[in-house]
Amino acid sequence: MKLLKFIRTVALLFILHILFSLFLIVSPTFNAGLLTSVYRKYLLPGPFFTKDRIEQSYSLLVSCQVGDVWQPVSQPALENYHRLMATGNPKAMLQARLDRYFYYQYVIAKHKNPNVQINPEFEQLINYYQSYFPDGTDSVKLIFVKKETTDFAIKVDTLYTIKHGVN
Amino acid sequence: MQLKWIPFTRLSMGLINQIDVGVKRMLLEDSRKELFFKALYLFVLIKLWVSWSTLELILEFVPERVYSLAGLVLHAPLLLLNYGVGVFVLAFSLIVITSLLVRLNYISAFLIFWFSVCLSKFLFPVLNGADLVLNLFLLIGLVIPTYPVIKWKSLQEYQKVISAFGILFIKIEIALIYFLSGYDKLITASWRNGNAIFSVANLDYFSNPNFSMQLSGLSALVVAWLVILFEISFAFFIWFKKFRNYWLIAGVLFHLAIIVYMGLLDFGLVMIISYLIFLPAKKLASN
Repeated sequence: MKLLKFIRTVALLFILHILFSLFLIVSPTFNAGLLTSVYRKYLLPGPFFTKDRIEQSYSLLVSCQVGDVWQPVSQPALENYHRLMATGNPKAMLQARLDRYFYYQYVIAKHKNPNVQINPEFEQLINYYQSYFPDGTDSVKLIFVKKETTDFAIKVDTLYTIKHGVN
Repeated sequence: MQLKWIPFTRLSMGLINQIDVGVKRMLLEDSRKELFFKALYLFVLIKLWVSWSTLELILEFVPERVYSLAGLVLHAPLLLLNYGVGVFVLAFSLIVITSLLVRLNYISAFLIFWFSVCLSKFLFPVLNGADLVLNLFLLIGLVIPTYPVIKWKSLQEYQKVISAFGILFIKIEIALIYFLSGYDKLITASWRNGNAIFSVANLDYFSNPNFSMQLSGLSALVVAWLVILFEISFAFFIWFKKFRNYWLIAGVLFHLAIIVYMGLLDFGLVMIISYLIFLPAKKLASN
C-alpha cells in the first residue's frame, strides 16, 4: 500500500511537471523569478534555433600586413567550419566555435560601450588570434561584418574596421 | 448536499484508476537503459578527447572564473586543471572507461555527471544545446541504476520503481524538448513563412558549403512546415507503439540532415542517442 501511495505521489509530481512545462512553453514570456529561470534552463532545454540566432550573424575578416604588403583577407572561424564540413573533424567544429566566441565577445562589449574601441575583449581577441597571423606581421586589420537575412533578403553591413599594430 | 459530491468523487476515482493503469504500464515497459547510458558515456568520452585542445586554448586565453567556496566544492574536479589539462582528461577518461566496463551503478553515474557538468562549465565558450541535453540526461541518470541493490528488502521495490520513473522522466523530457522546439517555431512568423529555412541556408556557419542550395520560397516553406510538424507531432506520437518506430526513423533522418547540412555534430548525436531509451528491452513480470 505504501508503495502504491509512493507511485501515485510521483505520478502526480510528473503530471504537475508536464502541466507546468506546457504552461511555460505556451507562455514564453512568463517569468516568476528563479523558479521559471531554473526550470527553463535545466528542465526545459531549448528552443535551439531561435529567430535571433538564425537571422543575424557576425563574421570577422582578418588581413595582416607583413612588411609593406597587406595579405589577402582571411576568415579563420569560417575556414575552420569549412574544415569540419570537408573532413568531419569535430576538433575543427570546436575551434570554429572558439574563434567565433572571441569576436562575439568583442561585438557584445562594443555594442554596450560604442565609444571604446580597444577594450579588454579586444586585447583577448588579438591575443587569441595571434596564431592566425603569419610570421613578421606588423599590423592587422580586423573587419567586423554583420549579416541579416529577413524576408528572403540578405543584408551585409561592415560594422567597424580596426587597424592595430602587432608586437 | 453530500450527494452532489458523488459524481465528482466517482470521476476522481476513475481518473486515479486510469492513471494507476497508465503508470503501471509505463513502469513495466523496460527500456534499454544500459545501452542508452553506455552510449551516452561513450559520447562523453569522445567529447572529452575531442575537446582536449580546446580546453588548452580556453585555459590559456579565457580569463579564469572566480568561484565562491561553495562553487569551488561543486567544481572540485576542475582543480585538476591546475596540474594540466592532461591530468583532468586522464582522470575523467578513467572514470568513463571504468563505467563503460562495469554495470550501471550509482557511483559511476554520479562521477560522470559531476565531471561532465564541470567540463561543460569550463567549455562554456563552445557550448551548445547538446551539453544542456546531455547533462540533463546524466542528472536523471543518478536515479536510474539499480545496482548496488539496497540491502533492506522493503526498499528494494522502491529502488526499482524510482529507476523506472527515471526512465519515464527521460522520455518525458525528450518529448518536451521537441514540443518546445516545435511550438516556438510555430509561433514565429519567419518559421511559418519559410524565411527561417532561407536564413539557415544562408548562414555562413550553419550551412555546408558542399551543398550550396538555392531554395525557392515554396520549398523553404515546405521544409519549414515539415520541421514544425515533425517536432510537434514527435511529442505525441512517440507514446504510441504503433507510430513510435516511424517517428524514431524520421528523427534519425532529421538529425542526420542537421549533422550533414549544418555541422551540428554533437547536438545531432546526442538526440539520436536519446532515441535508444525508446527501444523496448523486454516485458517485465506483470506483477
